[in-house]
This record gives sequence, structure tokens and C-alpha cells, in this order.
Amino acid sequence: MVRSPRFFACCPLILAVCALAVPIALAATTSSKPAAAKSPATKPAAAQAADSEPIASLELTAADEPGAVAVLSGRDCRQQLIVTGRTAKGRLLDLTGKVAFSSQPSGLVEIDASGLVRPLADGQATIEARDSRGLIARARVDVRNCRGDLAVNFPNEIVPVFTKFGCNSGGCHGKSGGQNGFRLSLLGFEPTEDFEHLVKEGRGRRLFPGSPDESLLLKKAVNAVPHGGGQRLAHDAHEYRLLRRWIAQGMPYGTPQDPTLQRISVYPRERSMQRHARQQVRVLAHYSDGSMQDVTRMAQYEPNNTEMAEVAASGAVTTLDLSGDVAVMARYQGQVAVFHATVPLGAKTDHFPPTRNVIDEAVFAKLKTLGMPASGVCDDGSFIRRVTIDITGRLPTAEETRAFLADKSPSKRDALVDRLLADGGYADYFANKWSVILRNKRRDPGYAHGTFAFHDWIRDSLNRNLPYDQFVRSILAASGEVSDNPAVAWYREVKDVEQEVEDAAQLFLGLRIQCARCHHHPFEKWSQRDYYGFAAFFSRVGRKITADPSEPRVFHRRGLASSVNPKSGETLRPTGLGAAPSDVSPERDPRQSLVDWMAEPGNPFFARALVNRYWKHFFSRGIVEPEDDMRVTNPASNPELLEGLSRHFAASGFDLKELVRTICRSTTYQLSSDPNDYNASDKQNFSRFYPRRLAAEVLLDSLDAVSGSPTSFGGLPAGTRAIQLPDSGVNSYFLTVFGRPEASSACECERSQDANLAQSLHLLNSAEVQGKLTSGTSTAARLAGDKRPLEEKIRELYLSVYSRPPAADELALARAHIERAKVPQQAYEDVVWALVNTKEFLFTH
Amino acid sequence: MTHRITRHRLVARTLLSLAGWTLAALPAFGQLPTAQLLSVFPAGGRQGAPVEVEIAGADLEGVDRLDFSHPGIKAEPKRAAPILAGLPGEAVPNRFVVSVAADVPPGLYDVRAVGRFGISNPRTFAVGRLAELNEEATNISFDKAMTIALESIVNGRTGAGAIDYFRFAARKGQRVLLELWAERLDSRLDGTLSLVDAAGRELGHSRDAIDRDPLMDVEIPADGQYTIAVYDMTYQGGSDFFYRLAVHTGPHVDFVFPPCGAPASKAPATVFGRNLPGGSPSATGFDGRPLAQLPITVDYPGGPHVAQLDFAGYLPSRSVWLDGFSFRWPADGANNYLLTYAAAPVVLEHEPNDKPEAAQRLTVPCELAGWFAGVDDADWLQFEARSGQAFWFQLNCQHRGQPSDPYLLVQRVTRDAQGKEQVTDVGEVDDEPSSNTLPGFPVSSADPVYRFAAPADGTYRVLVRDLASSTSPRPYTLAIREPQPDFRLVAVPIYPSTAKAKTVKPWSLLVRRGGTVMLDVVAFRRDGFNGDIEVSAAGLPKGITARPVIIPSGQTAANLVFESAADQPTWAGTIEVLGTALLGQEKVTRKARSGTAIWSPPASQRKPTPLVSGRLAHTIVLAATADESLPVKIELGGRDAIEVALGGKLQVPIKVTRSGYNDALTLTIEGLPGKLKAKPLTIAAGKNEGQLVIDVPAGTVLGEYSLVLHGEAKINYRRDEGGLRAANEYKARLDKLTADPKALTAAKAAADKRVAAAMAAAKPKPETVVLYSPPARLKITAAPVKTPAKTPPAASAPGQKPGAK
Repeated sequence: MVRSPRFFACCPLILAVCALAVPIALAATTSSKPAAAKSPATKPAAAQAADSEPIASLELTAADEPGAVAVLSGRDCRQQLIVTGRTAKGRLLDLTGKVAFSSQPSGLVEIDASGLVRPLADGQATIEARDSRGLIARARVDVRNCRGDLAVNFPNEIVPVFTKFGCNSGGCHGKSGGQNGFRLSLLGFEPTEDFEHLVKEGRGRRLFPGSPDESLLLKKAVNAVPHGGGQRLAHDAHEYRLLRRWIAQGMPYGTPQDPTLQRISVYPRERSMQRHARQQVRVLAHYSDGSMQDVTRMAQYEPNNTEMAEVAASGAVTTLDLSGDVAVMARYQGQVAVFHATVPLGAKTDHFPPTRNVIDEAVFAKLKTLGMPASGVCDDGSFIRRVTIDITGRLPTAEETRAFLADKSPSKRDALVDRLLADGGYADYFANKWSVILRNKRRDPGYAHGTFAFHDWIRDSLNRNLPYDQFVRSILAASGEVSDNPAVAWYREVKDVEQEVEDAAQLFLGLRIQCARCHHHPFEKWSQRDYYGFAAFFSRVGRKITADPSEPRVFHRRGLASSVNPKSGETLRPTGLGAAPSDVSPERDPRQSLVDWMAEPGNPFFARALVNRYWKHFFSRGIVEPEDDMRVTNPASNPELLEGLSRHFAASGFDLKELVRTICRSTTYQLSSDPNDYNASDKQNFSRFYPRRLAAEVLLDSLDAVSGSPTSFGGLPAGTRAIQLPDSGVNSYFLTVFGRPEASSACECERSQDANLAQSLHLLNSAEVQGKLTSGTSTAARLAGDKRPLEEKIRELYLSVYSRPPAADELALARAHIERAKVPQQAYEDVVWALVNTKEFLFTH
Repeated sequence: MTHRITRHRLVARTLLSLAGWTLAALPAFGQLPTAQLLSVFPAGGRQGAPVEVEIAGADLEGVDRLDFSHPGIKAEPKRAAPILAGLPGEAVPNRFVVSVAADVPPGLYDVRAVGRFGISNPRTFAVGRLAELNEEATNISFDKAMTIALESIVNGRTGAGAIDYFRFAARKGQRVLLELWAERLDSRLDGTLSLVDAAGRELGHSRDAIDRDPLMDVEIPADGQYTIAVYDMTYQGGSDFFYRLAVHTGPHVDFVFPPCGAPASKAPATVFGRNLPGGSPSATGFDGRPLAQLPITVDYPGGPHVAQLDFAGYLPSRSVWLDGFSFRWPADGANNYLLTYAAAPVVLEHEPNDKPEAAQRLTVPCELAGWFAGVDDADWLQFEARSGQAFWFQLNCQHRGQPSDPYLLVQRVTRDAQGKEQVTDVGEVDDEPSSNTLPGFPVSSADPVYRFAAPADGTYRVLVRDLASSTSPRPYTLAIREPQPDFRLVAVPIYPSTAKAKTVKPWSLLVRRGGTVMLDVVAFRRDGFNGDIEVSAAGLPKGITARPVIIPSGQTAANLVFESAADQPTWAGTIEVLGTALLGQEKVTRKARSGTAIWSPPASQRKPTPLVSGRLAHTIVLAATADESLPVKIELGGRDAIEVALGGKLQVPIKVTRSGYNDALTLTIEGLPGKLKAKPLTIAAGKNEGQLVIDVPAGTVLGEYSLVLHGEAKINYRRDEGGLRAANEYKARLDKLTADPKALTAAKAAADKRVAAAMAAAKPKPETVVLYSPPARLKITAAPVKTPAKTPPAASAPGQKPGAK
């Protein structure tokens, strides 16, 4: 059903004159609110003055720290030099490609323009870097083992080649079945298997020690024999020589005494860089015998924000057009290290709004470093609308807004936050959030009792402000039956150990360790050993069938908690991620020990994961994004903020309401969403409030409130709002189309905030929305019969929809339209319809 | 109101009948009508005050009597004004005025409806001490909350998708208890309570505090109005979703500790509860609300009481095997608390005993009273035993109404040559496996029972844990007693499902002239008792008999069958079921307890939910009707036991007595021991006799068994002939009256209408009835010793197994 012609006829008029009533374009999660359509943020005129600052001194490093002697061992060894200039003001600039290198005595090493050193003969040499103005820096190298070749070590030297060139990637030979009959372990995590496949499979035709160049491995790699992956190596490449030498040596694997890789480090670890600047980094592999090897050109690089930086295979990082923070992950043989670059905008940041708590300290400090001024503090109307939606999932009523705007108290914002936290709406809204990621799902009608009970328990826990560690303990260590202990419903839906491990890690630790179930995590340190050690916590979960088969009883099966690493066969004790194994007696439920470990003051994940999750709730973006994928290689955009707020949260006794209070009282949260001249493109430093579309349930409730026509949900009491629904088993086309999640996973990403045409059409001309606008009890009907002056009624409408009074032109326009109308109710319907089909209504801002 | 409910019932029944007529392929719910009571509203009243109640259920035609399990509670039918001078006022169907004597102690009692279809299953009727009122139906929005006073009980029913609101005024500092009674009253309501202050802030919330019923305990923060929301967990509602909500500042007892004591003793104990006059603060509490405590002395009865369970409160079916009594403190108020009899000296658990090395030392035998006191509580105990000593461990926690899942571990502690402690597991018990579960009366239990026999002299350690861990304290008792072999019985009328249509529903026994009904009797064998138990019935009226049956060694169930003589009069009342067995040298008789299913599984759910469970009732009842008779009767053997020797053939005559039913009958025999099997036997149409022949091979367990014949017959049933007779009698009386011709005409017209309705109802329609023969006794004795010289070998050659020819 579409709107009547009458409706369409009048609407262009309304739309044209109401400055707000931009026909909805949900597609753009625009950063500026429509009411105050600012000009697009212009490029800041901040000075890029550093280039012109004179260099006061030079520093040359060849080893892992300035002044150390770099050891170059073996003919094929390489070492990256890094030259850093220091200005009089203390700024550091990369000059590696901009200096001239020489060495004394000559003939021991050769150095190319990029600062890459290759050994020529054994001996000790001093390398000198000289810039155009004659500044000099020196470093020493020690060249060894150039005469005879060292035996190649397969895991340490050959496997990285396959990783570097993508041979063992998941899309190629690294996938589980291999590619065209040749299989390598994913990213080289299983060197012994790779060795088997290369040396023993394929009837030995892959490698010819007698004539290494005839080896199929090399012929395929250079595409001399047709290769599905094309040419990966050149004949003269360093890696080609290495492979050939290994084959010529008779394909040694290495000996058990050979050193093994312990970790990698990156130098420098952090730098402040300008936009469009370059920084060479060096990656060193550290081995078990204390030796180091430069693997800069063997490592792989990946920036966490590709809009901000790119990295060459040589390890040269180049910043792009944006300012902010960027992290470059270097990955080598399952080890990772990160280079952090800060790219300041360089604008003046003398005036910040008042700092109110730990949040503002961290955020404003960061903005100062970035040279990015914050937007101003938002007005009262925006604040009451924003904070009411964010805490209670509803719009403030016209009366609430009127009273708040009239309130002259300087602490009225704090008081409002407290009032909202005491309101049942807080528990409703956050129960809606938790219920979904705790997978509270009505799988069949028999589940309804349990899902209602679990939702009720979550809501009640939040309402009572149960400390978060106890909340988590009640869920993870739940025992008994749903009827007596509703939190066991989590174990009903999360059925096997793998799901329990992965959900628990993602929900409560912010870690996605799914990858480590089958292989070493490609971007993290988590191995199968970590995964199955963690799984041991869930190894004693028992389930008994009760009178009602859909409500099993969960219990602790006595016995030594352990889990077997399927790869190694090793039996593992319950072990927190990155922690020492727990000592759990067979009589104690290991899940209690798991939560004990989580709630320890020093746990590096627990408080951070929650703080980050809640931060995203209020700011649309996590301090780490996505909020449940926290890892070294996906660092926080503001580590001090995450750390400070997590400490505050833990110190409060994991008080969730206190966390919300701290967030909402901060100036950072109260910043305007209007960008200033510098921060329009900021998406991660919280220099302004980022608008976001209302969640499906909130939108439906808001529409119900504004139109005066509540939705009724089958089987639930009249007046039940969408955010109060116990689970996703209640049908609603509206909620589905606006992206309500199905509670099928632990990821908040299941909730779709995307926009699509169906949403626009539904709001513009669906029978459902028209019914709400035109019903006999609608706001329009009520206002049409209301004897108050017209202006007052329009004012009330604006207060209830936008939490602000109408502007003079808006008032005049609405007034004219209503006065002209033959049927007053229809005119009011037009106005309500126009007001809700705007971004100002659909977004929180 | 009455009219509406009656009409609904009529409609429902018509539909069912139609289904029976027109859709012959559908499984017919075959049982002939038997009074079924589903609700009594209000489900309780106040001491010393009358209360008008409305009953609802099925087959309640002619109900003119309500039987209560306490003699101080009586009911009279509510009567309308007489339509004619000289006539008594007609009883208003399904309405009664109940009077509760002032001395009836507060508690839960049974009420049963008695009408033309016998005496119904029980429903709970509560007696309280507070003022009572009934809910107004308009209170389903916050703004229209019904105002109630503190210190009162409101009786209500939730509507589907609705919330009931009540508002009361309270003063700052009052400790107000909101207690909802629903599951404990046989209601389907899974009740939830929420309390909101005048500013809309939720002050509290409660779901399952006592069984599945909420209890909220609130300290009133400021003088003002407070609003209670009452709703079903999944917002279901209807006449089956009734409740009583008590709002008061009086005492409430949570526990008496220890919850057990020696029979015939005066034992010190502590009451834990709220608003206890004279109480002092205790260290324990629920949901952050502290409990008060008060020392008391409990007077434990002795004598025959010790083997009984006499409790004026809610007892779910799993509690059936406890022995105990109602304790109330103070005597004039508060709630009933179940105390049990200890089988050995009572010892109190004391912390710290969370670690094996801190195990509490016990001297056995004893009965430990302990607490599960938090999510991770482990109670370690230790005792010394001599080689060969045997003890029975019995833990009672879930039986006591706690939602717990207790677990027992027994270990032996020794020391190696270096004096280092060595621990080996001796036994580990979780749930008690039970084969006793009856449809609608689950008795399987999470409470462990374990026989311990010390393998050597030494130290033994016990771990007691609750696997369904909780933050709330849960009291338990652990008996470690020397074997005291004994048994208990429970009798449960089970709805006789036909082969095609199996269902569970609250059911009761109604025997028709010439017919039979069956009662399931289940035994709990305690401490290894394995002897035969002979089960019999007592207190039967004239014309009804029940042959004693045997629960043989190794088994736990038997069926009593009540058979009606041809001249049996109409009757409804209480009977007794007794079990007799030899305990050691002593012949002991135990009275069976009474059990009942509470609900049928709701049609919307594909399986019974935990709310569809059974409970204990106070009496076992039986009814007989002289208005109806069955047109067919089956009999197996005679009244004397049939004896057969191992290796012999069991030949049992079957007799069918027909009085209007001439179709073929297919009959199966039930109750055969072990592996004995008999094929169903068909008695052809018009035939009246048959014979079952069963081989009794060697290896069959010797003993005495009770056999029952079972079959189904489709008969043309005239519903409620008693109703037709009553209507005719009424009309006949009217005919005799001559005065006031005008009124007479009106009364006659009403009587005609009534006759016509009764005629319509009595129209024959096909129904399936389940038949049982009265039990025959089968005695299997040892094979006779054969002497070849005197008797030529008949069945077995030497060296062959008997019966192997």
C-alpha cells in the first residue's frame, strides 16, 4: 500500500521548506548532521614545517639498538641500515635513502642506496653515512662465514620464502587440500610437513640435488614450467639463490641443535611522521641461541588502515593523505611485531573543551599530539537526545526535553545521566544488547521458556548492577537447569567445547581465536596449544537430560580438566590465554578457575574487552575496531584511553553503571557531531561525535512514540517495546528490514547498521508506517483535536521528534501547511511523516 | 460468569464428540468421563471466614459436594432462589460457599469435587490468616493498578499477554514481603513479580524463590505508593493461571536448621527467616536480603508418624520418599516448613571444610545437617570405619525442594611407607537412577543414595557438592546410617491411555457397575530391602473389592484393580492402600501415600514442561457409580492363586461376560515375571471363553506374581445417564405439584429443556474403554523332584533341561 496521492501532493512542499526534511538517504552514514549541513571538511592549512627544520645530528643503526655491532653471518645474509636525523627541536626524520654510504676497510661489504648491506668477505668494517650537509654517523658490522657456505636450515630459511611469496597462503598451496597436488602447511606453521611434501612426495621430481636448476620447485617458481600462480621469483633473486643452495646441499632439514625462532622485533617501534613521508623499518628475527638475523625483506607487512599508509616489500613505510595513527604489522613465521606511526595534522590545539575525567585526558592528549582540535560541546537538545537513546534506547519525551532545556543547574547533564541509569530503560536496552551476543535464541517453541528466563535474568542483573565479573561468572560457570538458573541457557545454545572456547574468548576477552583451532593464528601469537589449553577449562562441562529435553541440566563432571592438542597429541591443563597453566583439582569446576583468571587485576584482556565493547556502544567505533578482535596487530587507536578507562572500570569493582556514567559524563562524549575545519575526516580519534543510524528496535520504538501508535507484539503484553523483546523469535518485518540480529553468533557485527532501499521505502510508504501515522489514536489525530494554539502543538512535535524547538522558518512552514489544510488531521500526519523521514530523526548525533 | 464457563465447556465437549463421530480414524480419547477438577477460584480462603469459590474442570456434571482434606473446611453449593414455592433453590452449577473454621492452621489442603462422574483429582486450597480479596479484571495496565492494602492476600488470574498490576501504600523502613503462590497451588502460572516505586524505578524482581514461585523481600525506601506487576514468565494466561499474592510484613520462615531430628525428641534448632519476632541478624541471606535467626526447640513426634509424610504444604512428586511433618513457627502465623526424621544422631556441618585436609570429622552412624553455601562450596567430611562395616548414605536436598544437583564422593585415605597421604576413590554417586517414574508423577531424583561397605579398617573421606551451584544457601541432610531395610508406597491414579492415544492428565478412580479401574502402586525400597510386598486396599464401600497383589522381590510396582459388583451403590470417599512385608522377623504394614498428576501437557507444547509435574496429595480416593454400567467384563482365572511348576505350562482360563457388547476382544496379559511372554489373545465376537497357555521354562524366578488382563472395547456409551435420571425425577416431582399453574408452566418448560439437554447428552456414541481383569495370583514353585523308579519320565529325560523336549 502506498500513500494516497494527497500525501504525495503535499509532501514536496513540506520537504522543500523544512530545512531538515532532506528525503532520507540512509546509504550515507554521513558524519555531519543534516540540520547543520556544514561545508565538507577542507584540507587543513596546518604547516608541514618539519621538512624545513634543519637536521642537527645523524644516527646510523645496523643492529637492534644504536651503537651495537651487527653480525652478518653467511654469504646470503643481508642487513638493513637505518639512518635517522634529529632536528634541533628533537623531531626524528628517516634519512635512510637520502645519505651516501661508505665502508672501511673496503671490500668487506657492499651497500646499496636503500641502505641494504651485503657481505663480501669476513672481517670487521665501519660503515659511514654522510648527508648532503656533511653530517656523519657511523656503525660497525662484523662479517663472518663468507668463505664456506653454512648449512641451510629448512624451517628458519626456506619456509619463510614460501610465506613471503604467498606459496603457502590459504588461497594457494596452503589450503587444506593443497593446490594441483602440491601441498604446503598454511603460512608455514608446520615445517616438518612441508619438508615431507617437498622432499618425499611426487616421487622426488620436485627437487634435483644433482642439478638444482632443473628442480620442478624452481622451474615452477620462475614460470619456466607453466605455473598456475605465474612467476613468483626471478632467476637472480636472493631467494632463488637460497633455494638453489639448499637443494645443492642435498635438502638438509637442519639439526635439532639448530637455533629456533623465538620472536621478531621491529626498529623503530614508533615514529611521528608527516603525511606523505617515508620511514624505513628493520625487522630482526631473534633465535634461541641469542643470534639475530635481519629479515626485513622476508617479512610481510600490513597496515591496519590502508587509507593512511602503505608499505613496500623492502619495509619502507609511506604515509598517505590522512593524519592519525596507523600500525604496520610485520609478520614472519608466525611471529608478529608492530610499527606505530603517528601522523599529526599539525593544527593549533590550544583550546580544548574542559577535561572532566580520565577519558578526556587521554582523548585530548591524543588530539594534541595529532594537532587535531576537537569540536565544541554539543547543545542541550542534542545531549538529552543522544544520551537518552544511548543509555535507555528511547527518545526523550517532549516533557523531559522541555524540563531539561529549562533547567539552569550547571550539573544538569550529570544528573540526567544518573537519572537514566536508574531508569529501567537502561536494563532494557543493555539486556537487548547482551541477549543477542549471548545467543539467546528461540530455536523452537519449546525453547521459549528458557529464552524468556535468560533475557529476564540478564535484564535483572543489569538492573541490579551486578558487577561484571559476577555477571560473567554466572554465565561461564553456570550449572543447573534453566528454570532455576537461567544463565545455563548459554550452554544450551553454545553446545560444544569449540563454540564455548571461541564465544568466551570473543565475548569476554575480545579475542578471536577461532583460527587457532586448526592452525596457528596467522595474525596473532595464539597457537593450537593456546587454544586447547583454554579449551581445557570447558572439558568438564556435563549435560544431563531432564524431564524437559529442551532444558538440559549443566553440571561439572568431576575429573582432571584437560584437553588434547590434536596436532601434537599433547595433553594440556586449563590455561588462560598467555597465562601459566591453572592448577585445578578434579573436584573443582575449572570454569570457576577460568573466571578467577579473567577477573584477576592483571588480566590483560577482560576489563579492556568490556570497556572497548561499551565504548563502541556510545561512540560507534571501538578504541580497538572491531571491538572483539583485539590483538597486537590491531592496536588501539588510543592505548592510553583504553588502558586508563579499563583501570578505572576494574578499580570500580567492574561496575557497569559507573562505566556508563564515566563515559557519558566525559566531555568527549558530549562533543558536538559538527566537524570543525580539521576533524571532518577523523574516524578514530573521537575529536567529535560520530552520528549513527538508530538501531532497528530503537527506531521502531521511536517511531511508535512519535506517531503515538505503539506496535503490538504477538503474545506479549500491550506496551511492550521492541527493545524489551525477550529474543529474536518475535516476528517483525520492520525490525528485520532495519537489521535486527538473529542472535546466531557472539559478534555484535550481526546487527546490521547498513542502509538499503527497502528501509527507505518502508519508512516512506509502507502500510505499517502509514497505519501508525493515521490511526485514530495517532499523534496527528490527538493534535488535530487539541485546542491549544497551533504554534504550541508544532513546538511539541519538534520537541518529541528532534528534542529541540522548531526554527522560525520550520515553524512558519508547518504552520502554513496546517492552516491551509481542509482536514487538520491529515495536515498533522503530513508533518509527522515529513519529520520522521529525515536524517535528524533516523540518526543519533 | 458461571454461564459463560459452562457454555464454553459444552462447546468443547460437543467438538470432542463430533470428532469421535465423524473422524473415526483419529485416535479417540477413550476414557469414559471421570470428574476432573482443574481450578478452584479463589484457590484459598481466610481462617474463620466464608468464601465463595468457582470450580472449573471437565465432567463436573452434578457436582454438589466439595471434599476437603481438613475436616475444618466445608462447602455448600451456592443456591439460586427457588423457581417455585415448595422447591429447594437450585444449586448454581460449579459455585460453592466454603467455610474455613477459625482453628484450621494456615497451610495447603486438598479439595476434590464430587458429582455424578465420581470424585475428582485434588486441587490445592490454601488457608491463610490475612484478609482476602479477589482481583478486579481491569488491572492490566500500570495506570489502572488495583489498590490493595498491606497485610492482605489478593486472588488473581493472569490473562494471555497481560500483566496484572496492584498498588499498595507502605511506610519507609517497613520490610514488606510479596509472596506469590502459583505452582504450589497447582496453577500453570510460572509467576514473576516486579515492584516499582512511584517514580517508576524497579525496586525488586523475583522469579523462582520457592520452587517456581517468587518471593520478594523489600525494605521500603520512602513513604509512598508501590506497584506490583504479576505476570507469567512467558506471558501466558487463562483460567488455569491462578495465583494468590500475599503482601505483608509478617514473619516468613526460610529454614529450620537442622531440618531433621530424632523421632520423639525435643531438639534445639534455629529458625532462619524474615520479620521474625525476637529474631537477631544472621550471617546468611538471599539475593542480598539478610535473614534473621532465632533459637527454638522442636518437638519431634514418634510412633507411627515416623514412617509418614504429613505436610500441609507443597510437596512435588520427587519429595515422595521423605518422612516428615509440618512445622510452623510461630504457631499462629508464618508458613509451614517440612522437618524430617533423622535415622541416626544429628550432627551439624561446620566450616571451614572446603578442602580435603580440613575435612570435618564425623562419628558414624550419624545424620549430618549441612548447607551448600555458595557457588564453589565443597563440604569435606571424614570418618573411621572397620573392614566390612556397611552404611547407607542418603543425601536429601532436592527432595527438600531445593533446585540442587547434589553429588557424593567417597574416598579411602591411607599413608604410604613415607607417611605420605594416599587417596583412592571408593565410590562416586550422582543422581539416583530410578525406574519408578510414572506418567505425570516423576520421582527420579538428583539426590544420591549409596551403599558403602568399608573395604578395610581405616579412614574414609566424603565430598559433598552441589553441581547446580548457586549463590543462595541450600540446606541438606546426609544420613550415614546402618542398614534399616524398609519400604514406602505411593498410589497414583494414572489416566488409562489407549494403545493409540497416550496422554497424561490429572485423573481419579471411578468404577462403574460391573466394571474395573486400576490404581498404580509404586514402592521405594530402602537400604536394600528386597522382599515381597503385598498390597491391598482397605476402607472400600459395599460392592467394591480389590484383590491383594504382590510387588515381587526385585520389583517396584504393582497394580491394584478395583472391581464392582452388579449391585454396587453410588459412593465416593477416601480409601486406604496398605503394603505388608516381612522386615527381618517382623511383619510390617505401611500406608501408601497418594500422588497425582497436576496438568496435561499444554497443547501448545510438544512435550511436558517442568510445570507439568506431579505432587503428593493428602488422601487416596475412589468413587463408584450405580448410574452407569459396562456392557462387558473380562476375567482371568479365579480368585485362587494359579500354581505352576518350573518346566510346566501355565494354563489360565479367560472369561468374558457380555451384557450388550458382542464384538471381538483382543486381550494381553500383564505382570508376567522375567522373560515369560504371551501373545495377545483374541476372543471372537460372541464368544465368552478363551485360554492363555504360557510355558514356564527353567530359570524363571520363583515367586508369587500378580497378573492382569488388559484390553480395549469400543462401546456405545450413553453419557450421564445419572443426569437423565435426575432430570426425570425432578420432572416427576414437578408433575405432582398442582399449585400456581402459571409458575408451574414456566418450571415445566425449564424441566423439559433440561430433559431434552440430558437426552442429547446421553445419545450413544463410540468410545474406547480400557478394560482390566481383576488380578489373578500366580505362584511358581520349585520343579517337583522326579523319581524315575516310581514315575515314568513325563516331560524331561535325565540330563535334559526341564521343559526342553
